[in-house]
Amino acid sequence: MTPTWPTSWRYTLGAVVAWILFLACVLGVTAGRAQGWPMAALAALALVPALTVALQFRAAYRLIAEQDEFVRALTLKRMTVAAAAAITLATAWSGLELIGLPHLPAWLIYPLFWGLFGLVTPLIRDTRA
Amino acid sequence: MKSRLKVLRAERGWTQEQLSQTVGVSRYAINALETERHDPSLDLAFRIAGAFGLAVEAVFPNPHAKPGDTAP
Repeated sequence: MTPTWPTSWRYTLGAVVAWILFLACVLGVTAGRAQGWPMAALAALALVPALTVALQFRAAYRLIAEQDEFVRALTLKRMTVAAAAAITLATAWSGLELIGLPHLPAWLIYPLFWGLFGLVTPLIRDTRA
Repeated sequence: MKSRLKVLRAERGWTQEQLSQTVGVSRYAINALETERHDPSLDLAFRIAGAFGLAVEAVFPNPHAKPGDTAP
């Protein structure tokens, strides 16, 4: 059996709150810009998603550090593969934008990373190379 | 790394959960060791061997040992 991750309710609850804040701020900036909100308010709101990302990764780091060596190694392996895939896909898309594909906002890399993490999780079940 | 963990645990009638609590890791870690999906750190190997009251190589045989090799 392969462990699922995370197994902490505290982390899960924090992640859900962070995700709601992340998406709300992204939508809020879009709506605020359309309604002509002051630039200072928009700039402050626009930086909140980055703050939620930083806080969630900090929480993830702490949670991983608390696990035993197997779960820790397995999770880090999955995160490495997900990060590599997300960066590769983002770079590929960025390259294709140069030849005319529509522009995608960079904040999508964050949900892409976690989506890929979910995809690779059932595929990576051992800590060996 | 091959291990005799499953055999030794069965001989003592311990569950994976019991062994995991004794050595301070998750049951997933014990399962991964038994199914050879994880190579233990030196620290964990010693803790597991200690739980059985055996030498490390009695639980995790040296994969590089040549026939006739014996522990000092």
